[in-house]
Amino acid sequence: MSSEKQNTRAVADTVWLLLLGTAMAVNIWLIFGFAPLERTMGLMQKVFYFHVPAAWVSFLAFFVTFCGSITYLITKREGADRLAAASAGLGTVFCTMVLITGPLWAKPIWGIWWTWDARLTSTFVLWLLFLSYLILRSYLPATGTRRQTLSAVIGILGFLNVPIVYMSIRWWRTQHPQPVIAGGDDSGLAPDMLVTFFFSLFVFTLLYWVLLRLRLRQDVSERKLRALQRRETAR
Amino acid sequence: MRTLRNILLLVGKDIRLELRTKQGVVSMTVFSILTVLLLAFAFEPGREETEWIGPGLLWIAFSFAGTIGLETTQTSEREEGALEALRMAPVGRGSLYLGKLIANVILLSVVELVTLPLFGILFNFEVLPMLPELLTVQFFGTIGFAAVGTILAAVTSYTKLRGVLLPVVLFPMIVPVLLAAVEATAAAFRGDPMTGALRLLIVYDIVFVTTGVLLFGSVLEE
Repeated sequence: MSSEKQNTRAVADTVWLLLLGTAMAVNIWLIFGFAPLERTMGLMQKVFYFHVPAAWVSFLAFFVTFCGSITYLITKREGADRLAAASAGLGTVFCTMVLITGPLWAKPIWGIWWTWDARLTSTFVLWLLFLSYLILRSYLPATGTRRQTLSAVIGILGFLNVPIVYMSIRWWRTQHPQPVIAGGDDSGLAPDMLVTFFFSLFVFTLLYWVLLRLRLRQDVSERKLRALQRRETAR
Repeated sequence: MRTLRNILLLVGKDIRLELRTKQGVVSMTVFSILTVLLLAFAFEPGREETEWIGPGLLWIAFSFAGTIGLETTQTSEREEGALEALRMAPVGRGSLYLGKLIANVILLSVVELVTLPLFGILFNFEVLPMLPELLTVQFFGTIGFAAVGTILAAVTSYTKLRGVLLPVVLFPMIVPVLLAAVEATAAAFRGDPMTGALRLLIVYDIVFVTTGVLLFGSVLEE
């Protein structure tokens, strides 16, 4: 890679990081300084601005894994596989965040850490699915295209499972509240809360995007390093 | 027509292999019975509890035994270059998948049919009156289990750890099957209709058999 190209990359990185940093600071102010306190839940409700965006990003990340997996199987382009794997890793991290903030919120509001409700359970299963994707991937041989193809198969099967797990909501009793945005008639957020929520959604998506870029770049560097090491040992 | 004949030939191959060695059925059945026994020790269910935990107990036993079954039918392909021969066979990849799937379903069904009466005897539970319902659930549940299991067994057989990873990948994926099958079995035990859960099972079967047919080729190319 030419040094000029490297320079533009570095500039782009800085710009993204600055944008993300500013947005995150603004987000924190919006959540704690701007959005009104919820009447019954009080300060605990602030978890909402982290919990729901993290859930959204984890779904987005797994959807990217799904698309990357399909693209890889059709085009056999290595980039699609790297995108799928990087996104699965990030998705697992965000899903972990959902599973941690959920009980933290549930304990003071519902009085329990966890309940075997459909939405909680399906998020838990989603987390397990992509954890198993990552585990399996780490055990597949890195030589040839085997790891790429087989991970893609698991990525597709795993994602297809998500809506079916979710369908179980119909005949399973559910404790999780209906979605507050576009949920039922009596649900809804105060306008200031809505603004804060959407901004938080944007910030989390931005965070995912910046991390994804970094992860993919790290992959490229890693492969270059491996190639150099191989050349060194061959000499 | 030819496709159908090819599939039947492939199923016949696996069944004949099993009839000669009997390694799969025997270990699966023993394991299935052992699971029922261990769970019975762990929970010591009485008459009422059996109705309550019985469905889950049965399906845990089936899934554990099924995992072993998937493993055996896959391992046999790795011996003497059987997989290479299959790859070279003038048969569509989808047929290879369906052949393996049907063989797995048959193998699992045999084990389930042995476990079920044994469960009835050990727990003093009348399974005969609800047999048609139970067999329906078993049929669709087993297809769903094997649809995902067949392809995952092929995938995990390429890893260094072979079968060890199969349950790790398989169990999160069969959560819907397990949920719906347990729910439907419980409904059958109570004498209730089981339409909702059964419908979910059928949807699952259709989605994953189709996906399996489409994806098995990629798995085999590797």
